[in-house]
Amino acid sequence: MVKELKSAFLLVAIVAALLATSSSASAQAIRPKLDPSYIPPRTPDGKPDLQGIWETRNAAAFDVSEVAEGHEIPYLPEALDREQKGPRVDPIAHCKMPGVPRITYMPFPFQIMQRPGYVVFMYEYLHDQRIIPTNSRPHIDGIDLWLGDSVGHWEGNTLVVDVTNLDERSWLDSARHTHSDALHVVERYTRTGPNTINYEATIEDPKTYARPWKISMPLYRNTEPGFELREQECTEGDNGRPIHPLYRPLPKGDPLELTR
Amino acid sequence: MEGGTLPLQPWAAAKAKELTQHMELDPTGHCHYEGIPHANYFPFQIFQTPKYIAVLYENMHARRIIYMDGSPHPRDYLAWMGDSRGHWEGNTLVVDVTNNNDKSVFDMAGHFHSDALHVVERFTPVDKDTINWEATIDDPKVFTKPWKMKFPLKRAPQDFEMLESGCFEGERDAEHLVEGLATVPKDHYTEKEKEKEKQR
Repeated sequence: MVKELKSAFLLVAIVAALLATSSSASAQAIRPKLDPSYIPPRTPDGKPDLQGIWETRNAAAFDVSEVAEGHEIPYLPEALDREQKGPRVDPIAHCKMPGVPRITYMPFPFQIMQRPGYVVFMYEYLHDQRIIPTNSRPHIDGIDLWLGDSVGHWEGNTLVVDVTNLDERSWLDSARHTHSDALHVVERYTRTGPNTINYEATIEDPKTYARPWKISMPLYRNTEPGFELREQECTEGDNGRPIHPLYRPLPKGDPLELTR
Repeated sequence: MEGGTLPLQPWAAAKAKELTQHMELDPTGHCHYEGIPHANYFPFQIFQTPKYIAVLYENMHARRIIYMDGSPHPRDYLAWMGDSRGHWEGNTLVVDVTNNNDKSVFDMAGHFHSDALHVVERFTPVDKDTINWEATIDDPKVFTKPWKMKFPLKRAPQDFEMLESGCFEGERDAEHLVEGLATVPKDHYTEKEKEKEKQR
């Protein structure tokens, strides 16, 4: 589903981003195939080793329907109506955390670290982090968080992360695809090769979507020698790397006015 | 800290006094990182591998990765949390922190530093639930000599989990956030002084 974007700023940013990623768009056309015979290396405690620095190469951060099954999000009519009346400024413009799954496909790298009983995700974007226990403990109760409450477990070679308690204010992308506080995301991370992970998320929200829907995308290992995550402060956007066009500061004036 | 008084240069002592009158300029009030050592005053969780040690802080969801592979500090980069490289000396983790920007502060009492700040931290476990932490703070632009601080770190209860600290909640400071201004407008002090002068 492609929605009308009323903000000239966003449109310019998206065109610029698509131009910037056009070289990787061709790489994305050759998707790494799920090779059932691939045996991932193991951590000392015998779990599939997902560690390293990973990044997506797609435009999902701008429009998540790009990576949705059938390129469609099965909105309920009342949810579309709610969305029309809802806020029009992307929460990340005010340095809010992007939520799950959006944090995965933000155009910034992230690092996975594994310790017995934990998988730790460290995102360069906004120095976000998720400490995911893999003990299948029950979800916490009574509090919503921007990145939700993540609990993991292993299914064969796949890390399955169940995410609930997600703050209803986050968006799924810059194209204002929204959700409610009933959002439930199940992520699946499966190594498909030495430098690739298949990422899949099932997105369920009975208050917003007619049925659960799926997104999937490859994650690519950053193989640049000596590459390290850097500090990304939202208010500055300066970590020694070029600033992504979308995250440049907005021009002066009321941000609400700019996006109407 | 050792000795009880920070060895501030006279100009720095004056500025520190001035800063105590301007709590609105505290960078943590604008949701910025505390920096090192300031971040260590809050709960954090350590994850260890042979090549690096990740320290994840609850407050401000701050984070740093202490690289243990002998690699040098980067040369093109200043950060709120600086750049941490570590090594082992017996049972002690020694962390060298450089590349600090000049915007983070030590506390809420006006104590600040410059981009010449160099912190050497020492983490020494003394029993199963205690780490003795100490740091040598050097900043020749602000202090007359290096000084030391220390405190014990106590292990949190077994069932303790850190929660999310978003900080940017209901913020009424959109001007700073959207404009990408750091924290303190350059002429802030002079403007304040002029206002005071007028009132007199």
